[in-house]
Amino acid sequence: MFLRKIKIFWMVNKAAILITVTTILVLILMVIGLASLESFYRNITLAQIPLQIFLTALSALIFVYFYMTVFRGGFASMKKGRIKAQDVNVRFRDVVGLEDAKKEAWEVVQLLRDRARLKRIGGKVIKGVLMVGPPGCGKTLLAKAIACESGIPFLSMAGSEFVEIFVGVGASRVRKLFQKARQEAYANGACIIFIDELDVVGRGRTFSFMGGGEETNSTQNQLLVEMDGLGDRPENVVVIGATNADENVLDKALLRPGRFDRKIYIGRPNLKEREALFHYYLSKVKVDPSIDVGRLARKAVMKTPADIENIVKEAALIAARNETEQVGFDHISQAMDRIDLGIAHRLSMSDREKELIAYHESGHLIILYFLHPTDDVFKASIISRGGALGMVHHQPREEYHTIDREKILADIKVALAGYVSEKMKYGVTTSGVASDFQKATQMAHEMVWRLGMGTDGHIGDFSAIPDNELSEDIKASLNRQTQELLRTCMTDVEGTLKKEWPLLEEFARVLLKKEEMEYDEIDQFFREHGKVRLFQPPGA
Amino acid sequence: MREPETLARALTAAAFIAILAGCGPSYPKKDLEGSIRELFRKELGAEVRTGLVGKTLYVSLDIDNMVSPDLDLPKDALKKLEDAMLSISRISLSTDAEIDYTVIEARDPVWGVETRIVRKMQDLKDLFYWRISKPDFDERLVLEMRKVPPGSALSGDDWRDLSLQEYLGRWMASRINMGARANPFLGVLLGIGEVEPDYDQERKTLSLTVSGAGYAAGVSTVTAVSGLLRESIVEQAALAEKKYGRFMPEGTPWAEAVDLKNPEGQVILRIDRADWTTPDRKNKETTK
Repeated sequence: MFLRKIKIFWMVNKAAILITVTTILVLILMVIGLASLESFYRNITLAQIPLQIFLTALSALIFVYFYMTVFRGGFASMKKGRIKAQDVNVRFRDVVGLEDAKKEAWEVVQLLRDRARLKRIGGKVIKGVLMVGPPGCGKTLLAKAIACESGIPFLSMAGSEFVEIFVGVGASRVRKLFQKARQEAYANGACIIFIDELDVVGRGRTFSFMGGGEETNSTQNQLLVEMDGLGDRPENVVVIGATNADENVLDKALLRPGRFDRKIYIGRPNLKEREALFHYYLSKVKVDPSIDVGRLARKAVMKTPADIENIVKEAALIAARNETEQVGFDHISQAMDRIDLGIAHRLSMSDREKELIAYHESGHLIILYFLHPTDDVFKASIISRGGALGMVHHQPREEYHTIDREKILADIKVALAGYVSEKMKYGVTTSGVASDFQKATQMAHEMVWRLGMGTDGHIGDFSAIPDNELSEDIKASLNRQTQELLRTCMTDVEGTLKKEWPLLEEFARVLLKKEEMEYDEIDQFFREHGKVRLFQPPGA
Repeated sequence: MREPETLARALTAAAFIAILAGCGPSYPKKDLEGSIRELFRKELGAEVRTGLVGKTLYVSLDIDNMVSPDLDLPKDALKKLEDAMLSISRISLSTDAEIDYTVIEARDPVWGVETRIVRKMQDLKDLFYWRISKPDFDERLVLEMRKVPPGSALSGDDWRDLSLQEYLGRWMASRINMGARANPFLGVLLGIGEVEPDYDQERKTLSLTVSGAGYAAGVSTVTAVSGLLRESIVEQAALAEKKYGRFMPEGTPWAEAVDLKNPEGQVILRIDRADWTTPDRKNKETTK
């Protein structure tokens, strides 16, 4: 038994033992060697030791410098984005909007601040907080605010930094990160690790039948162990993870209590929060005081804080290019168009083609104006942008988190309106309807196949059933209902356009002349012709 | 934490080095002569007579077969001589006794010839510290030869503490002697057999007594080559000034003049200090 222990000890510590023994031998030989020298030579040798150490260190430094520069792309690649606490200076007051998320985050902060009292009671600080939400909504900013408000060190790494081509490197980095965090926690009471893009390492593990798995498996396993493994570690290390992906993408083991205990959902800002964001970002630039921030906020539906920041920056650039002293509403509007729709580029087109596009877009606009229950038209244009020759830019006037049948049908009608308009005017249609048909067909298909909005009474998500398990009759029936939906919508569109044809023609003429019309101009046009939209906006 | 472990290791290493550095000299002064005898016994297998006179260390030893019928210097003898020089150097460097000069007297007891090698210790240290080159160091050697009664015992009766001036005088004489032997044409032309130095402390004058066919009694001492001889002496004196002038106290010359004398003691040539210290001495015309 004793021999076995010795054998195991040797196997486990072979390298360390060999290195230690060699070092001791070298030291002894060095001492013997020096002692055997006569005093003059011994003194010379000893006197040269510092110089030799210095020269060795210098050679090593030169080697490392050349190695890193030539083979590893410089020293910047060594930086792993570890943000230290002293670099973070973000308070909750600096996080604009996200009121609900801030409330939950504040709870976390309170727990971290009162960890001593919590420990006395016998409780434990939470292990992990998961922030889920679309990109650009403020997850990283909120994590920084938590760290700053708690007054504890903050280490940050992106999930992609754990992943390397060599197996084991990711797990090693996780270990090092947690080791560093535990040291910081030991010194400061607690420490926060922020892992951005958590889905890179946190998505569900894959296990092949051969017994192996992806490299990220080992990284994730290490993360699981470090967060709540076999050993009960006394240091308070809190892991805050941020991800854009859905929770279901992440591994279940990561989401269980004891690891990511809390989940904070950070969504897009509502109208009030968008106003606050515009106020905040506009306060950083010289801005025309007469700007209606509320209108901007209404125009920026579904925009994230990052989008709003980008809009303000782009507006400032446009204002500078136009040689104006301050940012005005027009600049912001242009910035939004540029970001959402792309840069306008005028193609050389024949008059016929331009007219056709004008009628096509007018068709969309008329149906939008009269039949759409939720969306407003913000811009109509026959100037090509991106891949489109013309466009009608519309947005819901407020956030909707559910979509009802009427809205989907209205979207289908709007999509089909271009086709109908072309057909009514010219008797033939063009390839310009391809993307409209794709949208319309897709929406109709969704309604019938997934949302149970068909007319035959079929209920369920038929797209979830494998194709070979679905009977041909049901498929035929569902497809027929889809076509019926499309025809019904087409009929409605034809009816409306016939009724409002003079208005359409007039609008097409105006659009042909102006090429682009904004919300105000469109609204004025319809008012001048005594028309009102289907649903009045609030305050109208 | 790793810092205490690292600190412990660093302190241990420093302690090691301190202990080693604090070790005393290998050849303490109080037992210097015994150490020399033991070392020579060990390295050369020879019994030596040794003594420290002031700051000059003397070692006398017998080396057999320094003279060979085939007119060559035997390798064994040469090696022994080299070992003796090395041994005395080792001792001189690794002792706490103050030693400025080392003198090895190696004698062939059968034939009665003795070679004397004198070194200045500072030259050896300058070589170790790379202040002078090896060829320069090789030049800084006093090599003297003399005849002694065959079979006589090693003695140290004429041992005395050397001064820098005496050393320089012997060094110049040694170089002139070696030059005359090395270049047979020069030797014949100058007619030099041997040059013996003597330094007068009071007059600060180095006297070089030259013996040889050109300087025998009755032979005219004013020869056409006296200019050449003068130049040779000036050259050696300038070299001595250059190499060793810095060891003299500030403003104190090692010699004011060099007198060349014949065996009767008459001054053949007098060379003043100005002759070897002026920069344009090389441009002076020689008497043809």
